[in-house]
Amino acid sequence: MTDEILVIGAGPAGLAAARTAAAYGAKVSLLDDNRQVGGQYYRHPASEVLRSVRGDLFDEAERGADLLATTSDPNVAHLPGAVFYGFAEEGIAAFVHDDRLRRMTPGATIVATGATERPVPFPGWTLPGVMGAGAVQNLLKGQRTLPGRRILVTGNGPLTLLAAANLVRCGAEVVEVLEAARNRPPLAMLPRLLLEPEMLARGIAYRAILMKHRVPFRSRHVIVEATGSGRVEAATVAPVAEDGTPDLSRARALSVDTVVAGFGLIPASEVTRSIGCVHVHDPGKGGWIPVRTEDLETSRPGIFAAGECAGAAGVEKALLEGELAGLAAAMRVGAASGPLAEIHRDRLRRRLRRLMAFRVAIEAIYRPPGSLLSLARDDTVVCRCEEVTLGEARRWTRSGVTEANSLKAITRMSMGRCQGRNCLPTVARLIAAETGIDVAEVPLPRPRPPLKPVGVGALIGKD
Amino acid sequence: MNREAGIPTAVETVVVGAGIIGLTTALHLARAGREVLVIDKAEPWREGSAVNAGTCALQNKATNLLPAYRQGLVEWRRLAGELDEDIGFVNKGGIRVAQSAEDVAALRAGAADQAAQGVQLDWLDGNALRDRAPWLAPTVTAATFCAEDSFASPLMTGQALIRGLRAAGGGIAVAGLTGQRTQGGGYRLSTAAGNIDCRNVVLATGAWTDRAAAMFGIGISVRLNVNTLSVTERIGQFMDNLVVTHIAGKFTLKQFPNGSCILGGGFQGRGDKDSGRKELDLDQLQENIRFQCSVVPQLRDATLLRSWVGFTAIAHDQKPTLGPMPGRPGLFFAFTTNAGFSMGPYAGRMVADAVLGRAMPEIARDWTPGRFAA
Repeated sequence: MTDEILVIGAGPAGLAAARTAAAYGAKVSLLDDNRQVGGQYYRHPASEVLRSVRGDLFDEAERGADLLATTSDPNVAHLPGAVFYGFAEEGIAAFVHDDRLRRMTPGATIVATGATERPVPFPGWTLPGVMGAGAVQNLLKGQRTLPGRRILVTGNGPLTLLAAANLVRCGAEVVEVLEAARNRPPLAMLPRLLLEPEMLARGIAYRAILMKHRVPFRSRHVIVEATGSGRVEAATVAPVAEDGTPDLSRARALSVDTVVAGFGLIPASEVTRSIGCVHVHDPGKGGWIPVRTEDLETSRPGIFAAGECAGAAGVEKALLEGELAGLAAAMRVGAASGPLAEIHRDRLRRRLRRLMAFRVAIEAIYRPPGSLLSLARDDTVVCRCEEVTLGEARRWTRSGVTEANSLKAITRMSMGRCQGRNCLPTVARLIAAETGIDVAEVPLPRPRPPLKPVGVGALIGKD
Repeated sequence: MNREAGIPTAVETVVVGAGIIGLTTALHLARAGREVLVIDKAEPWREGSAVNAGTCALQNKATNLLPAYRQGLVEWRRLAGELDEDIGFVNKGGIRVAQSAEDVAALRAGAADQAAQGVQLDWLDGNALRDRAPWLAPTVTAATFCAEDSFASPLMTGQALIRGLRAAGGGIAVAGLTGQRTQGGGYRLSTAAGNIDCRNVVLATGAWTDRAAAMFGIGISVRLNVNTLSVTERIGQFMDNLVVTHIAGKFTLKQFPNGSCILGGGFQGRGDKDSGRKELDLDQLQENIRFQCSVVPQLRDATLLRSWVGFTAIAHDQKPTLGPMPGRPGLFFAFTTNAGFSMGPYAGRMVADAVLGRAMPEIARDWTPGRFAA
């Protein structure tokens, strides 16, 4: 064991963790599989010229310049392009960097691996021209490029609204924005919303942008199907009932070349799941998240989880959690101590509590109807790596195979390169629907290392 | 889980262990019209049989057990034909390679031993070797080809067997064995899901055979192996679906029809069979992959999808333990020691026959559980 701190992921949470731990004098290794720091939130074009295109709109990197400069802190060793391999041996973390497998024995580890888009299969979702809300944000922030000309935005949650507003502001023709949830705050939630007036105002501003550009926003509506030969040419949309089924009698066709389907984010909890941390299923936070102490330590001592990977709830929460985890990890390795550190910690804990109280209201506003599983038809591919359709998977669950591990063995679902990121949530919803149990009761297969594919050559070194 | 409406309280034969040997034993019994229930501590087909590399080869086996492994291949072929579903059985032969001068000498001696047992081998070197397997590293100077070497898909085999057994009327239940006592000319097994009375018990318990035997008061010692395996992403077919093994040992490699390569060989991870904990040893994994790349260099350009470890067990005397336990009517052992996948279906056939009252074949005389009688 050393007094070094390993931070996995250099997005908002990871950067805040690294900066805080380093400020207390701890030595930090910060790794990320991207070459650029900042994760998805702080994504920006490498070229200055491109950065100036709509720089007024996408100023995250400018506002976060301080945080992004964490990589030049002398206490921080930044390892860009490093793929975390896993905790293969007790206390030893391994990662592939610079075409080599490297090991370290950190005194504390902060997992800050972010979130991925929730896969919600519907007919046509694999067509070129269909993309996630997060992917659109990346395209706008990173390339300053529009995904298409006539765009339907459909899905669930605040990120989808933000993507729609940004598309409009960048001059795209957004034909409609569909939000699957009722999208109305229950009265009891109003006081909570006022806890964070600034964030509330931003949400209202996004709606105002849509209104100003006369883009119809329809709550309780959803996509039924995307069609086209070779790429998206049209989409069918319909109102959605309480159980998540679309009302096909009121379906309409729209002529579009792009469908942005963003059904929210799910925590990228592969790292904590792969090492056997205890997890709970929290639908409001996107699914399976590690159980943590007030200082964000998981059930495995010395392993902390911060940000979206421990509950998808936005960048403000990720920044606060990163700071708290960085401080707690620094205390654990002996770099931080004393009353000032404790005051700092108590302040962070308080701010987090208030923010999470606000988030409860946001979760209530965007609670999706049903499971949306009924959007997929029998011939809809649900596992993209192994090309397994919903019908095939359902044939097995109906014949009594109601365990994700067995379904995996039979159909090869989740055995491909994504390790189930794109299909396991669907598998869990399917099993839950077929057996009448809650998604929280469906255990998922434990991810096996490497958590992302690595080159065979890199595992054994160059030459 | 594959749900059962509880477990029966009485059944003629209980097979403990839902791996290759347990399921084939039960399949034969069910097809013979017998009442049989397979119990396992967890979901069926989860341990050694499910997570091994699928090799069903002769060339990498100990010479003294060759006849049994050959019978194993006969049974594999039969299984592939008899089950309703594809088990991914591929018989394109295999090559065993040699790199150093010592390797070549050992390969020659080994080939002579195998030939003495009637195994047909082709000696390959020089241009003949390059023509046959241009994807081998130049450091591979000689090889032997055996047309009998094969492999099967552990994933497909398990699911086909589970459904084949159910279709034949056999049962499978999650019910870990916790103890037993003799009862009315048979046994009362206590399990995590309740008691079961039975006339016959078959212990097809693989790496846990020592633990199961101890519940019957029998001392068998086995050594646990924690084998490392890796799978690559699908790549274009380039090795003609041959099974590649190495005379120096610790090497199995094959490319499945879907294009993914399975790298095995028995480099050791860490694990504990009582807690079920298993983990990779990174040094061993790297040594494993380095060795593989030294024989088939283009593996370097493949993408590794994942690595894992699985249990196998070696008997202290390196012999199988198969058939009825003398003096303990109704108690049968079904343990092959190592390479259970290759020999498994033959072990299943022999033990099922023994349960049906037939004599064990001559070959198995040495393998009687009687050698462990107290």
